[in-house]
Amino acid sequence: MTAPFPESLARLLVAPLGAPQDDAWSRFLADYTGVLLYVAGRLSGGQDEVMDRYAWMLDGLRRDDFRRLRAYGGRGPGPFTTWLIVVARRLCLDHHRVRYGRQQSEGPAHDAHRHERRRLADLIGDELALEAVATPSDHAADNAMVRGETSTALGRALDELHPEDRLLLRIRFEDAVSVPEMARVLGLDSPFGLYRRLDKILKGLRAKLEALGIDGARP
Amino acid sequence: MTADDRHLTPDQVAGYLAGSQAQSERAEVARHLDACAECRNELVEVGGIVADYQAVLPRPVAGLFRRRLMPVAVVLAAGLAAIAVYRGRPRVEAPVLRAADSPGADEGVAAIEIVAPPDGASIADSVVLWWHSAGQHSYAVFFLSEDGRPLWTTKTMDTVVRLPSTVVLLPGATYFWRVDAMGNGIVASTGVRRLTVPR
Repeated sequence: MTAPFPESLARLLVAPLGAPQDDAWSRFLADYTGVLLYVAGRLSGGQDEVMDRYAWMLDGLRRDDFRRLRAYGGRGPGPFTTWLIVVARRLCLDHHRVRYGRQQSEGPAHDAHRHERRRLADLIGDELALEAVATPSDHAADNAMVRGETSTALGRALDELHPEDRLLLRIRFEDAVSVPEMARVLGLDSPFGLYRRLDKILKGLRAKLEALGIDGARP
Repeated sequence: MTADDRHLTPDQVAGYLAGSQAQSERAEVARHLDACAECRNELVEVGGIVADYQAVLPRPVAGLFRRRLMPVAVVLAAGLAAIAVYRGRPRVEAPVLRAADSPGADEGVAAIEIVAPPDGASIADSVVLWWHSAGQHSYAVFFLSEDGRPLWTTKTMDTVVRLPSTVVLLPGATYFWRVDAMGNGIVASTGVRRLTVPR
């Protein structure tokens, strides 16, 4: 399925240099300034910063005879607006990198957040109540060994999942995105289907672990 | 994945979010996302922007507004037209609330009603932007050159602003303007509107 090629983009890409191209660019902007400003406004900063970002975007889109826009080329299967949001956001990050030296998503807070993350297998392990795997014992070393073996088995089971199922688990547990937010981002009408799908994936994982003799992997 | 084979292309991100890729390509993209935190972050953020943007797209003008308030807006616009100086043939145009032909397929229909100037108006000087909006908002006003460069922006609680004289309008030039109602983000918008200056 291919999304329709936007008319104002088509006119821009075929317009001869000079006034016709300038006019086509104006028309394109009339159509898409709204979304470009919206993306520029999503990052932090005051109105001046937003407009700086917006001006940077326009430069980036115009540069090298609209090289970035020509990359759309009608091959994109998604809506052009979504594609443009991806490109505009990347330009915003470029702007931030040039201005501040690194991406906004980086920094001490981000690093701290990353350090707080644990491996997906560990997190899924928690979800599966893997603590129950360890027999009640005061021997921490034994517990750690059992937990390590479980984690390895879980890693293998994860590798066998369908890539999309594994991706859902990673977004949910490693990136710590809530299920309602995942549903919103993925354009689902309601999170309930996603809850059910995650539950099914987790049940499948439990079954695989039980088949490996890890019977305690049951919540 | 991309030219440098490191990250997803915009096509792939947009296609994945749209759910419109072939199954094999979708699985390939999912494998990359599974391994690449940067692309995953991009996917989640772009998905959020798309969802939010769709949510704030201006909504169709309510029937009540069309029936009862439109005539008021017309009268107000006529009054404003008397204030603004239109060159050439008198252009006392009704403020056509261009719902159907709001700029761009992405803009939907205006939620902030424009009182004046009408979209595409030819204005010699005294540019006054006037809109109507239910509810108390602060507004971000953008005035842009033909190539989209910001010439003037302001924030206001009012629903009328006058373009300052420091903004020099060139004869024959086209300009864009837009007003966004700000709440927790953009809650409504006029969409991008156009005006021209006669030669």
